[in-house]
Amino acid sequence: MSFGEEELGDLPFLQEAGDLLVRRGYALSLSELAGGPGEPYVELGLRRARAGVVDGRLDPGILRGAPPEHRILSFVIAALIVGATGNAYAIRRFALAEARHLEGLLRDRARANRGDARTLVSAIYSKVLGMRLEPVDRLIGAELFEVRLGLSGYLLLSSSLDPSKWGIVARVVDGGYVYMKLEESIRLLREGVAKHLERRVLSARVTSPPEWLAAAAAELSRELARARPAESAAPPASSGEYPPCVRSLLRRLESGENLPHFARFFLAAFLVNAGVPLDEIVAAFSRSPDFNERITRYQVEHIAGARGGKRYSVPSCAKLEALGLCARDATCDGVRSPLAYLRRRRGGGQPRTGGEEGGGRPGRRGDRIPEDEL
Amino acid sequence: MEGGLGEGEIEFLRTSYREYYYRSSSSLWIPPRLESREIGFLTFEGHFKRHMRAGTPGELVGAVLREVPWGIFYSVSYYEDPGNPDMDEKGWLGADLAFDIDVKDLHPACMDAHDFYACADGSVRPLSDGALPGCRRVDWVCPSCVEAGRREVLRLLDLLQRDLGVRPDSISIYYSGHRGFHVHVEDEGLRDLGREARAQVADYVSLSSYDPAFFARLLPISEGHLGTLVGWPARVAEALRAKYGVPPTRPALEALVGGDLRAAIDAAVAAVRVRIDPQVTVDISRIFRMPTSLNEKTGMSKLPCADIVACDPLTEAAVLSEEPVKVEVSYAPKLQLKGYTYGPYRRSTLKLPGFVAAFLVSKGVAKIVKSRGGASGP
Repeated sequence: MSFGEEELGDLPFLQEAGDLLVRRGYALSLSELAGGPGEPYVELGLRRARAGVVDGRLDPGILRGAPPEHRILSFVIAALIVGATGNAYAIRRFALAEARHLEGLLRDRARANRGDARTLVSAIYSKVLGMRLEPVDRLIGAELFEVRLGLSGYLLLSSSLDPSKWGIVARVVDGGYVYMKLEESIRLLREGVAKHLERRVLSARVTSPPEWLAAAAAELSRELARARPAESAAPPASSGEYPPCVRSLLRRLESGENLPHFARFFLAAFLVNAGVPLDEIVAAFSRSPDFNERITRYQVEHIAGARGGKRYSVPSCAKLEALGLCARDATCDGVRSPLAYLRRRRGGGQPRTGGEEGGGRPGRRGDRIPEDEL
Repeated sequence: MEGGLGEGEIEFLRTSYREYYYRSSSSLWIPPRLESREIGFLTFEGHFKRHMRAGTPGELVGAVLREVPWGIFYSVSYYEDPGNPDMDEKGWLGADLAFDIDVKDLHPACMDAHDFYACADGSVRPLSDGALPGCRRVDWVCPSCVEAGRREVLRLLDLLQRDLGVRPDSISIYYSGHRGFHVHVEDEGLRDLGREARAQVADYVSLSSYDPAFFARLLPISEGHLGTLVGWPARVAEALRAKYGVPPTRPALEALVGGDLRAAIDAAVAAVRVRIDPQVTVDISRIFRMPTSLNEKTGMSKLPCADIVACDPLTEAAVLSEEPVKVEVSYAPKLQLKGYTYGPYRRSTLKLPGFVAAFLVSKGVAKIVKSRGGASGP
């Protein structure tokens, strides 16, 4: 399909968006492109970078009314600024905010015109992810499915989402395809677009940015540091008390990685049951690019049973193995649960509080933690 | 090995294994992309030698003939540097998708009849009597075990091909040489899947965390739409039809079971799920027994089954010599190999074909009777 100019304003990362800029006479070299502060698209880019990195979301109002080429340029400028911070966490957070923004636009489009939206979403799958999302309109049992995606592509995009909802065990799979509703394919697209943008920003980093851009990146870094809970408050990944699986997840969080859903649940349940104060647990998750302090605090309190429910137990080593999260080494020496490891390391005493898997099974339906949270 | 082996037994097995590997050196199965695989040997001294690499088939066969390992393994993963002992430094490039069907997990009725506990005082306890300190479980193999495994493999194949769209020519099936089957998928589209994605596949196959509400939601209202069901929803619906004898529409089932549709679905799932060891599918750092190599639990080979229906493991996998060997058997249930039945035996001294002797010795229930000259054998 060919994209209209308005559409390209919403899809600034496509090759076609770059082509539009060229047609409009905008040069694409850094020195010419960035006329410097004062240009409306540069100002818009600064706001866009700040919104993505500091707020973690891009308010559609920021871009409303701007012509398509300015929306495209503002994305380019924002990506350059964020890339110039050299901060992996900032880059992931920006990529995720942009992907969420696109998801919102596509959902609006689907509400207005499903057929039209389906064509657009399929085109984005193809152009950005190199995957074929096929329109189907297939009735399977009591449900009508609108699109299907090849199995390997689906697994790639869904592997960090809540398996109770996105696992293929909760999907209709036939002939190597996973069947979905349009909105589900839009949600899944967010994962792929975020990863794509992260790679793009990383690869587009400029070695010697213009002074104004370097200054903007420095200011953004400072703002981000002020906005995040102190990292020093988080439990250290090097703690010898923690089993290797927990240390590995804490290290991944420290490096700014977005952990899969179950990994987050496990880490929170372990730290809660190990008696780590809630503020310290929240600080650990603050390194996650999709961090939202309010939601994280709510969810950690929920796991801790502080919101009227039961405290969640810590999954067993067998469960972690089955989910690919076990990092067993010689120090584990036959322990069957991460909490038993902690107990042994603390000299045979009990964890400060807590329990092991048995009662509050994390896999119980209807009692799970929404995928976007923690 | 299932019991402690004496020097004579180890020597007998080593000699038998050497003879087999020399005899079949030109037909040993070689892993595709050998140079990117980690190779592991289990030695007769009980040590596991991992993180080896072989650049060519000749190198691998040479090492096998030189060392005569008790077990030979290769990684399902491909690595840039497969010989690096640090897993993080190996440089993971991808992995085959592997499934392990262990007959023990299928609980066939024959298992209670032939498995037993061998106790240190020489006594034997049936499985139903439970374990006691000083007793070890001895797993046996019979045609019914093989049939149970074969049925499960066929269900897995149906699912891999019809649901997951795996091409038949990318699937390889092997009898493990003991009491199970391995199914390997070499499909470029699935090679790059990480642990989380493999966990999803294992979960799909075994339905270990399914939600009954998902199946209930898909059950059609009218009979005319039953034919639109595919994949697991179709299999679960068929199991419901078999159990309740009505077309499995939602209204019909709700009328029969009242509000307990979830329980009915749970029962249907239990009847159709494929029982695999999920950890084997998820663990990409695992090394697998090499096809055509010998299984230290039985002395039988891991057998490629090109046609799973026609494959006859208890005949084709008994590859060791038929040369008679004199053994003293403490206890052995009936054993059916190569079309003949051996045993049951209790405190018997007799001559048996080499492949039967190797099975019993590997199970720790027989000792080699040495001739007056000191050599093993008749």
